[in-house]
Amino acid sequence: MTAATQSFQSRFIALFLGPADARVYACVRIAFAFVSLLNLMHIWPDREIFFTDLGMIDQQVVRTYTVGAYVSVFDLCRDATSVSAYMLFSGCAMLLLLLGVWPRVAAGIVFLWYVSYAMRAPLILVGWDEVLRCTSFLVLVSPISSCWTWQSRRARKRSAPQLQVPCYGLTLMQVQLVVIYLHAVLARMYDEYWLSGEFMSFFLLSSNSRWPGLWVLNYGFLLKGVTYLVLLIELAVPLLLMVRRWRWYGFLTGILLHAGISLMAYNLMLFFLSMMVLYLSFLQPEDMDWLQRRLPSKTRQASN
Amino acid sequence: MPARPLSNREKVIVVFATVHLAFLLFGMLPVRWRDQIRVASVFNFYERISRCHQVWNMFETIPNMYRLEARLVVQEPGKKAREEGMVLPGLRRFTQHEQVRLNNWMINVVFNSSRGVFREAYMKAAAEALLRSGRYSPAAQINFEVIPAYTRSLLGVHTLKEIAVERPSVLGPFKLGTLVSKTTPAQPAP
Repeated sequence: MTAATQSFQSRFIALFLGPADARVYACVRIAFAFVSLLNLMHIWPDREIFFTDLGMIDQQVVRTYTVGAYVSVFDLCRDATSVSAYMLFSGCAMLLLLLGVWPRVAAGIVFLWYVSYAMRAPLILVGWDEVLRCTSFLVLVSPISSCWTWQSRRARKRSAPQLQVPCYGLTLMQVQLVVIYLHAVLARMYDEYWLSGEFMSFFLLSSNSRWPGLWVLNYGFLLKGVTYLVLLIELAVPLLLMVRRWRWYGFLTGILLHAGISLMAYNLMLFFLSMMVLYLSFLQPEDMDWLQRRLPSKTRQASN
Repeated sequence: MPARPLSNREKVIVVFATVHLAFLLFGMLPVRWRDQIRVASVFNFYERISRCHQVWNMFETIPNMYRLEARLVVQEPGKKAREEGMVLPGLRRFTQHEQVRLNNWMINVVFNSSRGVFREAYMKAAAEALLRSGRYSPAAQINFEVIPAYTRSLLGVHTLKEIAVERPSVLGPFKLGTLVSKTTPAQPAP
């Protein structure tokens, strides 16, 4: 094997097995579990509408039209009581994942929840459901250390948390975020409204907008610029996040983009938060050191 | 990385991560591109088993709906028609802004011509709910009224000073008794 091939091979393997800070994984796990809980609470009031036999979506029809195997816990939970019980059970798993108690089992249950409701009610899914389901798969397969978990003092003394773990989970989460943005930009290359710059005006006139009105027409030129700016930002954010010294510009740009969308549009706060979970995978050990220095001393001792 | 042979666990990690990475990179392509590539079937298979669907068409198409209202209108023979909410169970009213997922159901079911079987199943469930309420007889007729308002062209909005135009549509009329007696409409697509 030539030196070049060996070098490529070792670089490629380092992409997955290189050392990563376990605190970054812990950060992603906690944020993911928190956003999952928020999402569950968002669905909770409408659980009878979407998941019971008396609701809007006939399970038998969904099963017949599902491509591939139909796997859903809602096959067993068909009435309001059992649906509520299953959702509470999944919520408990999210709480356990947040605390780091039996994290692998909890991550498995949470992934099953995402798969189950996507299967049972595919016609109600929104963008952040897809983001969270993909993230839940990656959290499930990622290394989980005892870093930043709820443990008894005795258990903490018995085994010190593993601070370095393989980086494959974070690498895949980073690529997932890049894929989301680049896919979105490429898919829009066929859309005349995006290409002509009229998208933002239509968006602000639509039911998605928080303040639709004729005022939009006064800013046609500006909104054309904003339409192109959104495409540019979605291309730039992955690049900024990938370059270590530019990552904070990437974070800032991405946060401003999603905060702007959440401000102008209805119901997109969960999309913002779901995307931020993937952003956390770009954190570096020095960021975690910085964060830990700012924690209250008691929390810092516990996390150490 | 230390230059040592990989353990079996590490080999499994590298193989899995390589496969998932390749899957993600392929998923970066828009659906219409990747469907033309030969390995699309392998991609689709992996997508189905991992449940990580890679379609990120965030506002790819123009959001041209300004407002959406929907209701059931039920008429007993010889009586005045009555409006009922279309949300099951409980025949509650549909509010577009508060129920974003239900709004998606409307877009995916009511406005998608290939989802007739879901509309049929919904109408049957709605008829059952109306009969269960005890307010209607099987002879009553039901209409599902959908009133979307679509945004005009920017020039149209500018000229007419009106954002949208309503394009109402009605599914029905159907007799409640007939809908309820129907067997399940689920038939596999040809």
